[in-house]
Amino acid sequence: MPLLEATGIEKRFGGVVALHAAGFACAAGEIHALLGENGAGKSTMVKVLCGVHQPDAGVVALRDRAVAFRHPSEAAAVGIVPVFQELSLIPDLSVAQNLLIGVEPRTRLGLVDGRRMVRQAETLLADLGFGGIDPRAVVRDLPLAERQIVEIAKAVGREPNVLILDEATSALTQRQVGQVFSVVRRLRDEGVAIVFISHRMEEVRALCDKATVFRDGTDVGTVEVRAASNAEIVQMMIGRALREVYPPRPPLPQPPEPLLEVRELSLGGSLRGISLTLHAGEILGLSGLEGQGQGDLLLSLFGVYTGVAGQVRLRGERISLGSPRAAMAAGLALVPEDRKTQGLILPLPVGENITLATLDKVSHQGIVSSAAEARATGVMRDQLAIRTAGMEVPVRFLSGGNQQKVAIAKWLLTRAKVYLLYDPTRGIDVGAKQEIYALMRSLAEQGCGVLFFSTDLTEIVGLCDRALVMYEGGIARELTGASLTEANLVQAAVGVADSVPDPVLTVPVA
Amino acid sequence: MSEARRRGGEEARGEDDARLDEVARVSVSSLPDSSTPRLLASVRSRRASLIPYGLIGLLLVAAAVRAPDFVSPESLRQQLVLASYLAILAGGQTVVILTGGIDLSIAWNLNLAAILLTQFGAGGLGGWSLAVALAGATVVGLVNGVGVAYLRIPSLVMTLGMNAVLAGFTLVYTNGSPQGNAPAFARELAVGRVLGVVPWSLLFWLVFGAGLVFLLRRTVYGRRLYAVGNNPAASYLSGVPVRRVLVGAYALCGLTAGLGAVLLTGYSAQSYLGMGDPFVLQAIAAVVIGGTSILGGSGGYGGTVAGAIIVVLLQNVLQIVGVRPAGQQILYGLIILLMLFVYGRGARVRE
Repeated sequence: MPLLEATGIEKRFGGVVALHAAGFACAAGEIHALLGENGAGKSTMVKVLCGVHQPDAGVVALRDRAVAFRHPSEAAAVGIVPVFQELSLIPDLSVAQNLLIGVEPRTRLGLVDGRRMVRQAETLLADLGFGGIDPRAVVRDLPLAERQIVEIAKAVGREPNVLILDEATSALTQRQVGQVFSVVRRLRDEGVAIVFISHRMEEVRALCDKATVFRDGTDVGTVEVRAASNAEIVQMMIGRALREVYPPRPPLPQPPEPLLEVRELSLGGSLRGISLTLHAGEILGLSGLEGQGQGDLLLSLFGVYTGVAGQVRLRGERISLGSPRAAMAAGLALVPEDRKTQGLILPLPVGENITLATLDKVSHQGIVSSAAEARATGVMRDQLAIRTAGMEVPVRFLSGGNQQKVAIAKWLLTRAKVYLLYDPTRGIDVGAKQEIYALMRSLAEQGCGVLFFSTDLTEIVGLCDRALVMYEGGIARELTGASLTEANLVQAAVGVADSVPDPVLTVPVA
Repeated sequence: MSEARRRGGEEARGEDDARLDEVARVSVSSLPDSSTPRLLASVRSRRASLIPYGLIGLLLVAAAVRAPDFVSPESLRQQLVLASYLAILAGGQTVVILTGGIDLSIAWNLNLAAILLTQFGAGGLGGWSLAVALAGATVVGLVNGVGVAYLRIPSLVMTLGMNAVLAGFTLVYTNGSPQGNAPAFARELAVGRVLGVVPWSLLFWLVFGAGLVFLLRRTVYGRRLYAVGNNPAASYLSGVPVRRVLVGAYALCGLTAGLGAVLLTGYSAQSYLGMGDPFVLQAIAAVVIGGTSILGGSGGYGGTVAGAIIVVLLQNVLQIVGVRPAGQQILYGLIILLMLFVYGRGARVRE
């Protein structure tokens, strides 16, 4: 009898289906992995289980009794405790205060008993094998890994029936992961049901008994981890046919001309010695699961961060990574991750957004020339087929696809040589996607270079000349030609080294 | 949420997109002649400033009922002259508030400029005194801007601190009693009339206003200012020199504090300690009542013009209607809060 069971869960956000007829079951004393690509529905499922989201349909049952949580506290009350990657600790409180928040020991007068609190916290941490963390330390001062451990300790201290770890180990060192695992195994032996999400396949193999694979918002199967091969699991994760049609890939000009050369680029803990070369006429894909440093790489190249080490050359000339202005002047363009907060200024008109980066070109002595501006925006509207009632319409009224075209148009006007694109087709309709693919290819054909991060593997495979897979801040693998397949991308993304045949991609790329 | 954004439903997304496009089309085509961008823009801004101008009418009617003399041409001209001082002072504040900041230092910046003006003006150095006063006020604004943009001090704290520093400095500098009288040109500008009919201050206001509107609407600087006020991150990622834009805004605010000092000194014929104090709240009130968002990024000088007139009328009308000073203060504060509430609702509804 499963301790926790979800069946037929439906969840929509606006018009977007996040979960459809999804479910899985986890028995007491079982560690159950949820696997899937980015956006497959794992995290939404977890948030439904612990009361963050309310399902539109379907049943969550605890010990065969249906439960419906309106709030995470109701889930916690029956023993379902999640640990998320985003930390829920209060940074200005001490470790002990965080661990025992809401359940503080009291003195006879009803005041918080500080000394007993520290003792209890000490016991809890030592019990988990993390006696080295001082309960009196302020959480803000702890390194990220220790904060993550405090987070886990807090959850364990609530004595859960169901413990959910959603990417909770991603910030930890290998040794810390080992210690957390022994705690998790002990909880399993005590009869706790554990749901485990990780992007590291090796962790799933080391820890989990069963795994349910999610794809496109539905569970596509549950396997015994010991009995299933990596190839089988990867196959389940990606098993779908190509849907989009990509522009043809002409051969690169020979000999390839290096356009952007990056050498040993590092940034704090998030980028580790990245070296890559982008050639003129090339679309170079950046793949890997989200949050492996792809965003930081693009932002670093565009001069957004301070403290970036390494060298970047554009056509052999060393360029400064000092500011976006400098990057722009050197010939770089960035279409950032979030077009609504970073790429566009939503309340401003379409036209003003398009010319924001090139005001100097459409003005004379500091005065904007309406005629020059109208010409420039008109050219962009025609070239990108931006569908808008007028250049005066605030850009927020446009559809996602057209918004993204505006964000790209802004950079086309700068006549940049290198385009850094962060998931430019996220959340836009198929038609607009096709147009953006064609545009990227035509930029490459004009001799520009495109460095393109996408969370959609089919895009990387279908569109790119070459792809780099990032894993924990470094480049894990380079894939090109026949080896550029979804299976290989997924494997490299989850840190699996061996190669599996790829039976999926028999559909020719048109 | 990211899962939801990512996930599936190409068709659903397509529908959403189509619907959004439809919204964009409808919202525009319902306006007359959507092919003329200029007209569209003016319709937009006109609707936004409808509220303050309506309020002006309401105040005038209220005053006329109680005291018909109040709406005589001479009386109205006097009201407008008073409004011109405030509106010029509030010009720089408008620019700063458009960036999402605020400048509280205009009280003593104005005061110091006024004192410099009368002191240097007393020696017969009329032109010099003007230059010194305006330059001094602009430099103060520049320092505010550097503090906010480069040292990242919140504008509220930076300018409040600056105000205290200036107050102390002015006390020491004047030894408690400012010297001299307003130079002749300042008096003429503040209270003189062209051919005995049109006040100089109104002409000056007209030129100043036109210049400021041009700066905000037609120049590269103006474009960048709105961009930064709406979304500094996106502006920065588009190569906008965000910090220079901010410094410019505060410097401009310093300059208009200096201009305000010239007018107010001319009006009262001398400078005195504390003369700037009432104008901080009044200037901010004029900007906010005029519909410029206190969060930055939307609004403009056209609204502030109306706002300044409202503030001046309000004070006098309340007096006429027989509200005592304490009551005036209360009503005054309530009206500002009410305006913030009204505009805040508008913003939420749009989201």
